[in-house]
Formats: sequence, C-alpha cells, structure tokens
Amino acid sequence: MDLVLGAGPIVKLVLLVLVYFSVVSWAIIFYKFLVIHRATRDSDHFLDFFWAKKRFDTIGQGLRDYPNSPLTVLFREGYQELLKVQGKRPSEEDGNLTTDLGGAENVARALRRATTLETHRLEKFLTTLATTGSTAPFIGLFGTVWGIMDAFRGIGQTGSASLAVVAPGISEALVATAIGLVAAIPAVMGYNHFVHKVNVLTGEMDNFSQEFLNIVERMIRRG
Amino acid sequence: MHPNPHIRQDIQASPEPGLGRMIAVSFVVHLAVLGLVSGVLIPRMATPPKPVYVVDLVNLPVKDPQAGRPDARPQPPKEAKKPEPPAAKPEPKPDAVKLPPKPETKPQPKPTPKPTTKAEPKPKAKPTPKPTPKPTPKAESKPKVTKKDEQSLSSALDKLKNQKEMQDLKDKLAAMSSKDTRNAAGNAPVGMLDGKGTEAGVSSDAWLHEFLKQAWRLSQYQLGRTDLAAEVQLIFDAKGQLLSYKFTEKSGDSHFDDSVSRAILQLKDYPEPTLAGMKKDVVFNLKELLK
Repeated sequence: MDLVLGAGPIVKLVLLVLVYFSVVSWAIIFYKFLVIHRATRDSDHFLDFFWAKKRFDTIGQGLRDYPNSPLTVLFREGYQELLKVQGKRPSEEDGNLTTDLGGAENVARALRRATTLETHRLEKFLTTLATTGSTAPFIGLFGTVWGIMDAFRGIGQTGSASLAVVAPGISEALVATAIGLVAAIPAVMGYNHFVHKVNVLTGEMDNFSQEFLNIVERMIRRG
Repeated sequence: MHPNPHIRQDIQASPEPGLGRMIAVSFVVHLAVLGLVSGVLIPRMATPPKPVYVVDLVNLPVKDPQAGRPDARPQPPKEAKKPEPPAAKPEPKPDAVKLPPKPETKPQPKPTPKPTTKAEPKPKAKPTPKPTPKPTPKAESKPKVTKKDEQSLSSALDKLKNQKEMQDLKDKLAAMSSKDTRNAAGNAPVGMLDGKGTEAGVSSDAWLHEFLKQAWRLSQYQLGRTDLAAEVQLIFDAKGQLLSYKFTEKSGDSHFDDSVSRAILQLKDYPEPTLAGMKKDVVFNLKELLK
C-alpha cells in the first residue's frame, strides 16, 4: 500500500486506469459465467425435451422452461417462419404441416438469422475482455517506465546511486506492471474460456438448425 | 399479430443478469482483496527483520595491519604460540609408553585361555592339531614384531595427534562459543599474527580509517552530535610521515575540530611508510567514521 501511495501522479493515474480495467473485466467474467452457464444448462435440457417430443406445437408450449437456451430462440424463429410460410395456424389435434421446398429455404434463413443474433448475444462484452488482456500490461509498462524515469531523475538530483536511493523508486514503478498483469491475466484466461464455450454453443445451434430443417423437409415430403 | 402469440410471450420472459450488478459485485471483491493484501481486514504476521551482514571484500581487514601500530601486540601472540608446539610435540612420550602394552596384552590372553579351556574339556585328539598351527604364527610373529610395532607405533602416533588436534579444536570452539558471536567480528583483533601491513588485503585507507577511529576521542556531548562533520586533508612525505594537515571544511564546533586535530596529531608518529607521498582527504563524521 505504501508503494502505491508513494508513487508519482502519473503512476497513480495509470494504477487507477488499471483498477478500472480490472473491475470491469471481472464484472464481465462474472456476467458471462452466469449467462453461458445458464445457456449451456438450458440447451442441454431443451435438446432432451426436443427429442422426447414429436410435435412442434407441444414443444412450443414447453419453451418457457428453458428461457436461457439459444436453441429455444432458434426453434421459435424457425417455427414461426414455418407457420408464416404455411399460412395457417397449427391445429391442436394435427401437428403435421404441409408446404413446398421454397418454404424450407425461408425457414433456413430464419434459423441462420437467429443463430447470428444469438451468437452476438453470447459474445457480447468479450471484446472488452480481449482489450483488457492485451492492453493492460502495456499500460502498466508505461507506468513503470514513467516511474523509473522519475526515480532516475531523483537519483540525479540527490547525486547518490546507493541502493537505498534507487530501490524505492524502482519498486514503486514496478507496481504498475504488477497491477497491469493482475488485470490482464484473468481477462485473457476468461476470454479464452468464454470463446471456447461460445464456440461450443454455436456448434450446437448449427447442429440444431440442420436437424430442424431435416424435420421440416421430411414433413414437406410426407405432405 | 403473430399466429402463435403464446410462444413469443414465453421467450421474452427469459431473465438475464445485469452487468451493473456484476460491476458492483466486482468492485466489492476488489475492495476485499485490497483489504486482505494491505492487512486491513487480516493483520499481517509480524516478521522480525533479518540480520544483514556486510563483508568488505576489497579492504579485507587483517589482524595486525601495521607492526608499529600503537595498539598492536605482535609480541604476546608469537610468544604464546611458540611455547604451544613444544607442549603439543611431547606426544611421543605417551606413544612410547603406550606402544609396549598393546602388543603384550594381545598375545598374552590368546595363548593362556586356549590351551586351558580347550585342552581340558575336549579329548586329546583335538589339542594335537591346534598347537601345531599356533607355534608357527608365534614364530612368524617374532620377526614381524618390528614391522607391526612400527605400524602400530605410527598409528598410535596418528591417533594421539588426532586426539590432540581434536582437543585443541574443542578448546577453540568452546572459547569461541563462550563469546558473543554477533559482536565477535567487531571486537576480535583483525589481521594476521605476524602481519607487517604489506600483506594482501591490507589497505592504506582501511588502516588510516582504523587508526583515526581509535585515536579519535569525543566527549559524551559530542557523541550525540551525529550531524557534525569536518573534512581534513592529510599530507604525507615520501617516507610516509605526516607533514601537515588542513581543514578543508570545518564543522563549526570548535571542540569537535579540536578533537579531530588531536586524533590527527597521534597519526604523526606511525612507523610504516605505507602512505608515502599521498594526500588523503578524511571526513570526520560520527555516522561515517565510527561505523
């Protein structure tokens, strides 16, 4: 604590910026952890539910149980597009739908759009983590360089190069690099972890879209 | 109007954690970590300061840097050490005494029990083969006695020397351990016993520093004035004797300057010309000179 309080104004400003970066990056880490954890959990449960049911209208009524899954959004968008193409409401007693293959292309476009939107939602704020991870060490290094410049200027003014004169200034300056690394390391680790999770979820969405389209095309061929 | 409005209502009900709330949580976590690190929440364990030892490798101190030094005592240690070797060398006396008993004791017990114990209880057949081998080693041992004696003599000598050396070492260790080891370096006489001031490790600056440090006398009042400092230039002739000195910077305290002058005047009579033709600037400061 003395090292921070004894640092120069520029170094203190750098430390404030780094603390801000650290607070924001940890907030994003907590936020993304909750969002992606819930999305993964609900997607797994929704897939089980989806393959257990045979009728789209039954599945549509059970979507409220999986509010955080991106697959429910895909299903909703695809199902709505399918209903639009068919031009009639699904009957309660008959879940079979009839349309031509052009309608399947519309459904595919709707699924792609939903996939893109959900991917963007899942990737939100990850760029901030990447920015923190890549720039925080350099900001800290800037503070260190500035602090060492100050320390050497002080050495020149006192005319003494003993360890007692040199060491405090350098240690105060090095605090900036340390804080920069403290801010950057969790940000980089969190970014890599969440990008991996988002990629997994995006793969699940792609697979679900293909399965959904297959089902729609089979329904079309059956008439 | 959507054909199936209940689906949209279901999807829109999905909750999402707010980033603002997460920033508040992160801020609290940072404050907690800061409190832990700075020792506000949990007091740090008090670690005693580690002792720092300074070793001057350039100006290696020697026990007696100058033979003519007023406080040097070259005579007593030399005389004290010379009588020691004769005291340690009478080692042959116990060797000579101890040598005969060892060969005597070993052969005596061997022949006596063997014939008595083995001959009496066992039948006659067994004693006959045993005496035959025994005389042969005895006959052989007589010519070998000299070699064995020499070997045993030398080994006994070595043992006694080792014992003596071990005893000396133990005495030295006991003497060292009885002293305060922390101040041993500061109180112990430095240098070699027969040093003349010209050996490797003797620095004229170190010698000068040591001499002036010992010659400088200060009153109790002056001992508290660590802020006073005076700089003096000492000028030596070619023989190394002090020709003159002058204050390049006075302390401002006349008593302090007088004490410096008295210390320098004692330097005038030192015998060894190690500082021949030199000018030396010496700063008299309690912080620096009396370290």
